[in-house]
Amino acid sequence: MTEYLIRRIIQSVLVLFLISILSFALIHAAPGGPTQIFLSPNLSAEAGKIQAHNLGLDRPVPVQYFIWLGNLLQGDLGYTFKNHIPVGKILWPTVGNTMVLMGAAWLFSLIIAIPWGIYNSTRQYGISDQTSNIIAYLGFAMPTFWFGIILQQYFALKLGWLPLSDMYTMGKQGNMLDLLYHLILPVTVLTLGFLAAYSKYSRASMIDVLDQDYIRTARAKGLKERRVVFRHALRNALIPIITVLGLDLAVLVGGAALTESVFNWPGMGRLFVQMAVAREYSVLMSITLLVSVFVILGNLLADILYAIVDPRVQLGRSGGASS
Amino acid sequence: MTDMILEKAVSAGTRNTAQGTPSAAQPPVPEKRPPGPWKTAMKKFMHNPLAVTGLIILLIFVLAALFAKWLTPFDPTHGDLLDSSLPPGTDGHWLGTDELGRDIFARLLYSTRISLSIGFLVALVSVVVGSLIGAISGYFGGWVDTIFMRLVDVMNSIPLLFLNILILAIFGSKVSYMIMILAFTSWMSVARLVRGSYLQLREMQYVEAAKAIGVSSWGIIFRHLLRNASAPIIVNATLMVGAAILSESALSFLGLGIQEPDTSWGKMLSNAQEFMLVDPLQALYPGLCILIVVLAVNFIGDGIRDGLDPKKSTIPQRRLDKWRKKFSKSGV
Amino acid sequence: MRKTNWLSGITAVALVGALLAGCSGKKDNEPSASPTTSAPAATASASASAPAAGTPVDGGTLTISTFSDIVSINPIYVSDTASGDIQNLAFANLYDYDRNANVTVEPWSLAAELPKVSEDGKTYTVKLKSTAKWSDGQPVTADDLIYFINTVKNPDAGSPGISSFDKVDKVNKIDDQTVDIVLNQVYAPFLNVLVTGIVPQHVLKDVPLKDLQKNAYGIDPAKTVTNGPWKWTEWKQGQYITLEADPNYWGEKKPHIAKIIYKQYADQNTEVQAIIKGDTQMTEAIPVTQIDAVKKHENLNVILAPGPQYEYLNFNFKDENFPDKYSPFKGQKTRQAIAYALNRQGMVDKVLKGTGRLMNSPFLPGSWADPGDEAVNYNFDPEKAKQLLAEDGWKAGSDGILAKDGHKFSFELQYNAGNSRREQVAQVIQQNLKDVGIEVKPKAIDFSTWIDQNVTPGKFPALLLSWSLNNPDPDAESIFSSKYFPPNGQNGGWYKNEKLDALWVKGQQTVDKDERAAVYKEIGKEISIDLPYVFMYQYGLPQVVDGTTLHWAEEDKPESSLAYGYLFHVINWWSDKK
Repeated sequence: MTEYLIRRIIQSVLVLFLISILSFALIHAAPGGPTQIFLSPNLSAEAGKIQAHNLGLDRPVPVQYFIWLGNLLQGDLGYTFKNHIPVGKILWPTVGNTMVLMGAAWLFSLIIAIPWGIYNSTRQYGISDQTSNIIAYLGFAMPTFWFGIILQQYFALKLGWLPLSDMYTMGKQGNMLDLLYHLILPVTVLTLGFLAAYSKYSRASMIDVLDQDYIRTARAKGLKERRVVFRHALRNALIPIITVLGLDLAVLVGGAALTESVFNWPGMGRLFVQMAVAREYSVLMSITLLVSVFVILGNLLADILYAIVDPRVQLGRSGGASS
Repeated sequence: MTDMILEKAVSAGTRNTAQGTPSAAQPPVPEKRPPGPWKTAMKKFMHNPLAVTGLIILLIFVLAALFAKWLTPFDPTHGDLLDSSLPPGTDGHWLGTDELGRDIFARLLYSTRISLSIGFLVALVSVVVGSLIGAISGYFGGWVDTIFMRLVDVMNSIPLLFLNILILAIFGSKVSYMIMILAFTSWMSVARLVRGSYLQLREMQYVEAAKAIGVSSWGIIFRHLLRNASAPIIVNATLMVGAAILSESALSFLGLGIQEPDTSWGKMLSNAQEFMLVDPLQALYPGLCILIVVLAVNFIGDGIRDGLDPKKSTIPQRRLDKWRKKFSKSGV
Repeated sequence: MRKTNWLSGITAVALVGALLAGCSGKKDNEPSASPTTSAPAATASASASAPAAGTPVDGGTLTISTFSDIVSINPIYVSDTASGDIQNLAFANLYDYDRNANVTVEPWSLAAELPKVSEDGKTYTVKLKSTAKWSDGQPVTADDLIYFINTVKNPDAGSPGISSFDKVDKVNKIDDQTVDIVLNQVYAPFLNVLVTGIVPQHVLKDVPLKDLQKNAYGIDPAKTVTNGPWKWTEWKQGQYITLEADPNYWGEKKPHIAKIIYKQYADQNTEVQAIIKGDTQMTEAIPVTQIDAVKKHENLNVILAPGPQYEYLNFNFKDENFPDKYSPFKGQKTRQAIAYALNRQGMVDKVLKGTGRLMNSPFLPGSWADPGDEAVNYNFDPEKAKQLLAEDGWKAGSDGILAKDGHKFSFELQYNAGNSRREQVAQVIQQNLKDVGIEVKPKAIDFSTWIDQNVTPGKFPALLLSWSLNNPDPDAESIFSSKYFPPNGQNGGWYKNEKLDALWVKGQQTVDKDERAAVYKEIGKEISIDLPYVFMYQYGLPQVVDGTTLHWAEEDKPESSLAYGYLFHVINWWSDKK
C-alpha cells in the first residue's frame, strides 16, 4: 500500500510537471508571444524594450519557465502583466466561491440522486426509473448555459422571484440567507448535470450488487427484500459511488466555467474566461495547474478510498491501462 | 457533462472488450458462421425505438444540412437591411429575419452544416488520432507506451474546457482550429481502448498460430482490432459527436468559437443573447436544435452499445429476474 | 496625441467583444447643423425625460455597471475607460470641460483660473487652488504637477500619455501654487492636454521610474492617495469597486452621493438585464438593439446623443499588405467610387437604428472644427461608383469582379470579432461593394491580437474601426500625417498627402480659434476629396439610468458628447437608494 502510494505520488508529480510545461509552451507559442501582447502599442520601440526588460520578457523561454516554476514552488503564482497584482490575491477568493457553488450543487444532487437511483434499481423500468432516464438524457444533451439563460429570463426577469445573478446582493456580503437565495438558480442548472450521472450510477451499481451471489443467498435465506437491500446490498453498492465522487472532486473545483459566467458567480471558472479574454497568462496557468492538482488528488483519493472500503482490491500491481 | 458521457462510454467499452476476449481467443474455424455480431447488433438496434427515432432525427438534420441550398431560397449571410427583424412567417421567411435582415431559417440550416461537421469531424479525427496513438503504444510497448500513456494522463488531468478556452484565446478561432482543438482534447479514450485491445492480442495463442501459417502480423492486428475494439470505439465516437457539438456551442457562446460570416448553433445562440429581451425566439431555435441532435446522437450511441453488448444478450433472462424480484416484493 | 486612442475608448468595447459585444449607436434623429453638440443632445434626451429635479439628498448609494475591470487608476497609466471612470471619481482634474467642451475651471477643478498663455504661445502659466488637498491631508502643490508632467514625458515611466506631453520642453516652479509649462513649439491643442488628473509627488517621489507601473499606487485602494470627492475603498477584482465620499474632501461643493459601487458584468447584454432587474442604477452604454426593451420599463431613462466617436473604413496604400503586392486603393477615383457605393445612410438607419450621423471628415459634426458643407458628401450612388471605377481603369472580369493590370479587385476587410455593430456594417459593406464589382472578404479578428499584429504596425489590406476622441481638439496629425507612419504614429494605412501634412502642422501652430477653424475647414475639404478613409458616421452610446432613484438638476445632466460625459457633474447628483 505504502509502496503503491509513493509510486502514485511520484507519477502524479511527473504529470503535473508535464502539464506545467505544456501550458507554458502553449502560451509562448502564441503569435508574437507574450512580449508583444503585454506592451502597449503607444510605447516607442525604446520604451517597449525597457518595459520588456522590466517584465523579464527578453530572457530565453526555458529560463523564463524555470524562473516561473521556481517561484511557483515557493508559493508565488506571479503577477498579472497588466497591473502587477499578485495572482494569488485574485485567485484564492474565487476558489472558495466556486467551492461554495459546486459543493452546494453536488450535495444537493447526491441527496436526491443516491436514494433515487437505489429506489429505481429495485423498480427497474417503472415510472420513476423512466423519469430518471429522461432527466439523465436531458442532462447529457442540454447546453447548460442555454438552460441557465432560460431560467434567468423566466424566474428572475419575468416572474422576479429569484436573483438574476451574483453571489450576494450588494451590501449583504456574508449573509447566509442571501447566499442561499442566490444559489437556487445556478444550483438547479448544475444539478441537472450531476443528477443524471449520479442517479444512473447508483442505479447501475445497485443492480450489479443485487445480482451477486451473496444477495441471492440472503434472499434464499428468506430475508425480507427491504432488509436485503438496505443491510446487505447498499453498503457494497456505495463503494463504486464513492469512487466516482473522488473523481468528481475536479469537477467541483473547475467544472462550472459556463454556469459561473452566465450567473456572474465570482468563481474560478468565470475568472478563467475573463482572464482568457484579457490574456492574463499567469492567472490562466495558475488556474490550469490548480485544477490539475485537484484532478490528480481526486484520482489518488478515489483509488485510496476504493482500497480502504474494498479490501478485495489489490493495489500495487498496477501498470495496466488505468493509472 | 461531456466528460461524463465519455467516461460512461469508456467503462462500457472496456467491459465489452474484456467480455469479447474468450470468443476471440477461439481459433477461427472456417465454416459456415452463425449470424455475425454485427448482424445481431443491427437487428437489436432496429428494435430499439429510441435508437431508431434518434437515427431518423439525425438523418433529417444531416439531409437538411446537405441540401440546405434547395430547402431555402435565402442566403444565410446575405441580408437586406430593409427587411430586418421581421416576425416569423413574413414574405416567405418561415422563422423571420434577424437584425440584419438575414433569414433565420436559412441561418439555422447552414448552422446545422457547421455544427454537424464539427461534431462528425471531431469524432473522426479523434478516432483516427486515438487509434494511431493507441496502436503505436500497444505495438511498441516499453518506453513508447510509457510516454504515450503519460500523455494520456496529462490530457486527462487538465481541465479540458479550460484548455480549449486557452488555446482558442491564444490562437484565435476558425472552424478548422475548432475541430483540431476539440479533437486534440478528446482522443484519449479511444487511444486507451485500442491499446488495451492490443495488450490482449499479445497474450493470445492464435496470434502465434496465425503467424506460423504466414498471415502478416499487421493483418492479424487489424482483424483483431476490428473485431474487439470497433464496437466500443463506435459507441465512443457516437457520443463524441454529441459532446463536440455541445463543446462547440459552449465555446461559441463564450465568444471564442465560430466567427462571422460562418455560423453555427452556438454562434447563433451567442448572437441571440443580445435579443433575449426583444426576440427570445431567436435563442430558442438553435438551443432546441442542439438539444434534439445531441439527444438523438446519444440515443443512437446507446442503441449501438446495447446492440453490441453481449451482456445485454441475456436481457430476457434478466427481465425475468426482475419480474421475479418485483413479485417477491409485492408479496411483502 | 492622447485624443485619438484605440486603446482607450475601444479596448473596453472589444473586451466585451470577445464575449459577445454590442457596441452601439445612439439616438439622434435629426442631424443638426447646430454649432454645438449640446443642442441636439438636449432635444434627444428630452423625450427620455431626465430624472426629476428636487431637493438634493445627501447619503444615497449609486450603483454603476461595467463590463470590464479597471487596470490601474493611477492617472499616469490610465488608458482604458473603466480605469478612467474610477479615476474621474477619485481624482480631481486640473481643468474640466463645460457642457460645450470648452476648457473651464469648476469648483472641483484643481486650478484656480484658466492658464495664462504667453505672447509667443509657448508658455502656459497654471495656478492651483490653495485649498486643494490630498486624501492624506497634504496640500496639492506645484511640485505634484511638475512631478506628474516630468514623469509622463519620461520614456522610462512607460506612460501612455507620453505623446500628449512630449511637446513640453520644461516645467518651472514659480511658487507653491504656480507653474510655468514651456513648450518647444506652438501647440494649440495643449490646453486640452491639461484636462488631466495629477499624482501626489510626496507619495511617489522615491519610487524609481521604471518600477512605477508596478507600484501599488493606483492598484491598491489603501495605498492610493487621491484628491477627488470620493475615496477609493475597495476593489474585488472582477467583481466590484466601491468608493466612498471623502469626509475630508477639500472642495466647497461636497458630493451628495455617499457611496458609489462600480459593478462588473460579463457583457452589455447582462448589464441591461441587471438594470432592468433593479440591481444597478446606471449603465454607461447599452447595445442599440436593446433600447426598445429598456424603454418598456417606465423607471428607466435612455439618454441618447451622438458621442465623441466615429467609425471609418481605412484603406491601405502599401503594396506589401496585399497578397498580390498591389494596393488597389491608390487611385483617388477608386476611393471615391467606394464612398459612393456604400449605403452609409442605410447603415445609420438600420444598424444604428437612426442613432448616428454621417461623417465626411475626421471632425465631429457640430464641433467648432466641423467643415460642414465644405467637405464632400458621398451619397449612396452605385451608378456613379461604377462610372468612376471604369474611369480609373477597372474592367469587369469573367467572374464579374473588376480587374486592372491583371489584379483582381478583391480585398480582405478586417474588423474585431464580437462587436456586433461592426460585424453588421462589415457585411453591409461587403454587399454594397459586391454590387459594383468589388469582392470584399470580411474577417473578424480578436481585438487585442488584431491591434498588436495588424493595426498598430500597419499590416492590413483594409479595416473597419472607430476612433474614440478623448478630448475635443480637432488635431489628428498622428493619424493622417506621413510623419506618423508606424511605428512612430497611427497612420497605419501609410497615407501620404503633402498638402495635408503641412496643414496639420499649421493647425497646431495657429492659436486663434477662428483662424484654426479655417485651417480645419481646408483640411476637411481636402481630406474628403482624397479619402484616406471613408468616414462612416459618428455614433453614440445609449446611457441608461434608473430615474426613480437617481436624480440631478437640469444643468447637471449627463453630456453624451463628452468623453466620460455619462458622469458629467456627478458630484451634484443624488440618489434615493441607501
